[in-house]
Amino acid sequence: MSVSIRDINEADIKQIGFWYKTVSNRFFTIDNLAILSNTEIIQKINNPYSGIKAIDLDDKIVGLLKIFLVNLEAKFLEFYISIDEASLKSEILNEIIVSAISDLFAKNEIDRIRTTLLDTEIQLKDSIEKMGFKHEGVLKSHVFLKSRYHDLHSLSCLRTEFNA
Amino acid sequence: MHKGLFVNLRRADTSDFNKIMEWMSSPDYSNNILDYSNVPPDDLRIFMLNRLNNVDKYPSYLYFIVETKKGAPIGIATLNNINWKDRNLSLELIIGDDKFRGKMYGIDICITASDVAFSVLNMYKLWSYIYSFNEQSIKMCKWLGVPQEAILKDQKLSDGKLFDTYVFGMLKPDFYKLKTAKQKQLLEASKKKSQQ
Repeated sequence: MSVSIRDINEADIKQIGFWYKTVSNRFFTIDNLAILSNTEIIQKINNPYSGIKAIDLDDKIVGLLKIFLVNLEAKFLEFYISIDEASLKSEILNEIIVSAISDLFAKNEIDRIRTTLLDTEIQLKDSIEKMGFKHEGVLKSHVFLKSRYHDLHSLSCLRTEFNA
Repeated sequence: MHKGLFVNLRRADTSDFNKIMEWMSSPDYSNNILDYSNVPPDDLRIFMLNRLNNVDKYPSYLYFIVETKKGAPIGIATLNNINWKDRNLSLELIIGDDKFRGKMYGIDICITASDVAFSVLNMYKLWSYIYSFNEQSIKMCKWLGVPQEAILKDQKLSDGKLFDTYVFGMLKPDFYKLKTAKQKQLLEASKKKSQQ
């Protein structure tokens, strides 16, 4: 099985539209994606400024990666990652995460990488911590999703501590 | 107009442009909040005028001019990164007039702006990123009882050195539990200071 990271294209939209709307609406902070049509979501995702990439496992999209902020002065990058339910429970999860993070370190001149995860994303958090990410704190009640507030865990990792 | 104990906040408009640009180009603003020095002046002018003209229906920022009770402008309070879905925002403030620094105006601005965020905009959470070298702001958050939520390692580059960033966050119910007591403490402290 091979994992690859690539740009989103038109052909992907049918695969990710509904999943993106229901699972990953924290990728955009201002718009509530639940009230947008699939066509509007496509316009948001499929443009060069969205910063969103597809994570492929044997040509099937299993996740999305969004580069949220790149600070070339302080040499750090912030990203969000979302993986589909089936892959979260599979043994391949670690491999998917390693590929995604290795790609970010390889393509950006940064020393540190940071992400935030919802309190419900337990498998992702466990997997990311295994790669050498350190817990930096909990942002209380920071995201409103599925009718309730969620805490956000902030995690970061130095290039030298990344345990691929 | 939003009234605090020692200051009032009013929405900024284009007539405040020159004053705002003066404060935003101060070293205090660029060191502790955001450095606009690399932005071409014309671009910055258009950017700020658009913001002050309120061109967005659901803006992600609101600028307030901080005035003394006599109406003299002393600084800006910005409600920034307004997230209408998750109902949270960040607070940034700068006291541009040196005479008013270190005299508890900052705390009053913080309480008044928080009140606007929670009761006028109906936000649920207010947060702030503070660089580790900004000791005065950290001290103010601690005095106000704002919990520290996270320390983001090496987030800020300043004078060739990397500094941590502290994330402070306050929820609406916690703010209203503390507000009256903190205002009382602030008044007492201010009276003591004026007697000295």
